[in-house]
Amino acid sequence: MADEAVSVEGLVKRYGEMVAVDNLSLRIESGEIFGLLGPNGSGKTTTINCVLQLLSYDRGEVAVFGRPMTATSYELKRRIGVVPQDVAVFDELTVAENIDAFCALYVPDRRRRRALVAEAIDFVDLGGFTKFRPRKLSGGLLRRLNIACGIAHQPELIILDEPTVAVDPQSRNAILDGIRGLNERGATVIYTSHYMEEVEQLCTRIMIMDAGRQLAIGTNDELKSMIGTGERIRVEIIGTEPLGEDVVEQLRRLGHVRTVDYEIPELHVECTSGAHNLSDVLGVLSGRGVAYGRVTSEPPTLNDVFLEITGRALRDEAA
Amino acid sequence: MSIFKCSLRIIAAHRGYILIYLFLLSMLGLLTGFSSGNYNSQLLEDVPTVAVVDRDGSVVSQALTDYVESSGEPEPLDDDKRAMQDATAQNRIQYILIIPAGYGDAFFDAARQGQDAPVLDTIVSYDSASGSLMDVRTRAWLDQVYAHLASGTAGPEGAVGLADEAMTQEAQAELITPDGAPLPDSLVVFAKFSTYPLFAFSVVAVSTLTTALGRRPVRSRINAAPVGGLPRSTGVLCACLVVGVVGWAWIMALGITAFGLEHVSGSAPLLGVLALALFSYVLVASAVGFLLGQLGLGENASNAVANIAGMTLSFLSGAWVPVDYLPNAVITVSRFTPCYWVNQAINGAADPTLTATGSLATLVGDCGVCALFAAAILGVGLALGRSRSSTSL
Repeated sequence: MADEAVSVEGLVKRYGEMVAVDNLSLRIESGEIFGLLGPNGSGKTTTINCVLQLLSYDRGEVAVFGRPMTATSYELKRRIGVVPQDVAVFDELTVAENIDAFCALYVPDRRRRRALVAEAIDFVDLGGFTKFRPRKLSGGLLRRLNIACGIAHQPELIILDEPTVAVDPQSRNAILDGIRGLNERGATVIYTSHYMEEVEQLCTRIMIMDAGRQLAIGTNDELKSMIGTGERIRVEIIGTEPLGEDVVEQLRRLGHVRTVDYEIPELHVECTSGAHNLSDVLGVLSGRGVAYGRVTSEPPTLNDVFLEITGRALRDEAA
Repeated sequence: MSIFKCSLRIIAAHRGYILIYLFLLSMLGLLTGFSSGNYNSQLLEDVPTVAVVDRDGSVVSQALTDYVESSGEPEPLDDDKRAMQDATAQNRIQYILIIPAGYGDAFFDAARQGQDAPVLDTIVSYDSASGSLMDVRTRAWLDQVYAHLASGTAGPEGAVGLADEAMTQEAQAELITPDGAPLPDSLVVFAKFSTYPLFAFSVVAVSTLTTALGRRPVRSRINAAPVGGLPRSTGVLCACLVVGVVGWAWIMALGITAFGLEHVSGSAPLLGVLALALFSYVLVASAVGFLLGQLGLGENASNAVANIAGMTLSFLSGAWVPVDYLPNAVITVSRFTPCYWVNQAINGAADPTLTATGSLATLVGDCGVCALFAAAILGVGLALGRSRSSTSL
């Protein structure tokens, strides 16, 4: 219990008739990087706002570090850092002033704060921009400033709500590296995103949400093992003749093969977990004299998990 | 404390507004104050130059000629059109009275039959009111004669004699000594003008601050921090108050230094009323700024409102044009604006006939009415802010 950073039990949040969070329960251990994955509007931010007591909720209990969380739990709030989805900084203040202003809400001691602000600036690598106003910063730098404002007071629990939205790949990698660094320093991280690749790379445990409900929870491997697909094979068919229906039928009869789709010139074979899926498929093609070019074999992604659970692609929803 | 300091930093970042609204506009106020100068409060009777062209020669017309020439400074004038035009154009004679032939008989008949008196031709100077005043006195003399003739108790000779006697009577007058020296006009003009820069500065500064603090993501981040609602609101309100106090102190210091340094000790209570009036108006402006911030208006809209509303309120209150010159309907409307009460207090403080310290209470009451406007507007702003924070996450 003492190692639990966040505990949510039976959380329900309604907006009139619409249920934004539907009986959600989760436990996040200290030291984890916990991912909340789901399409836009799935209830991730609402859940976070309920945990932070920024929103009132209709039912449920929220505890942080083993103690009930309320709007006036200032001692608990002091141990939490928040990086909201939208950049939350003052346009009127410089980079250093912004970090200092938000850090001052947590750390009244000026001398200590000065050191923390300097550390936060180094951490997000904004040393060359301390005198810049937010309007002068690029999107990536602005996101880094947003993060610095949330972590400068060195919180034990950091909640990052889609921190990489509208960020270029280079800045995104820098942000993800920074989050790993925070976790290595001992912080528990809650990371919400609709980018499955990020969540896959970063998080030790993941909860998939849709329509306010928890669909699945577990490690990356645990989630993928929940679905039937174990391997996806793509083969580029070359040659003048299209693939015959008899060949496709022969592939369907192979062990571990779940589905076979052929759309000229690509053959898609979805298999359950098996040791020789690729060699079996290629063996059939070679045996029937089918010439093939590029061959790829991919393990399942979180998108496959989402697709299999909901019947919709996460990527499409996110876009 | 952190919210308070952060708020001050945000306001300080908008130095441009401080420079334009507070510094430059107050300099304009200084110029207005200097140009108004100081009027002499002593009454000096200006004796007009007069000429009477008597084409009648009756008892009434001769007596009228005597009265006009004894009241003014007679100037020779030929009875021809060109001479009269020259005297008027050159402003040599401020009041010319032309009594037409047959006027005396017509006047007598009209009085006895109760009809309107016949009309006299008059020409008055265009650059001074003394000619017009002379005309008023002439008509008053004729009214006396008309009344005596109408009563039937006297003939023309008797009537003009009684009129002359009545016109020599003087009304009883008493010189009222004010408690202290009145405030100089230049300071009063400066203070009235300053209602506009004070309003514009406070509204823009406070609305900019409350807009910055009220942006949804920023508000979420602040709400997630371990700072209670009370210290947070207190910090913001203190920062708003600092804005108002800085603007007010600047205007007061500038006005007193430029126009009223010698009145600090002699007219301290009146100066206090003036300061209180402006301070109560600053409270109104800060409350309006707070309300605009809660409405979420952008910087441009806040500037527009600050300028348009600031100028309109100053105009309606009589800060720029005496309120007596405005139509009655406008005066009625202006009573429902805070600046009207500020100007009432300032006008009262500048009134040289203000005699007793008891009258000061009325002026302080005017300031209180203005402060009530501030309280009402702040209440609306707080209610709006509460409603927004509970619905916009």
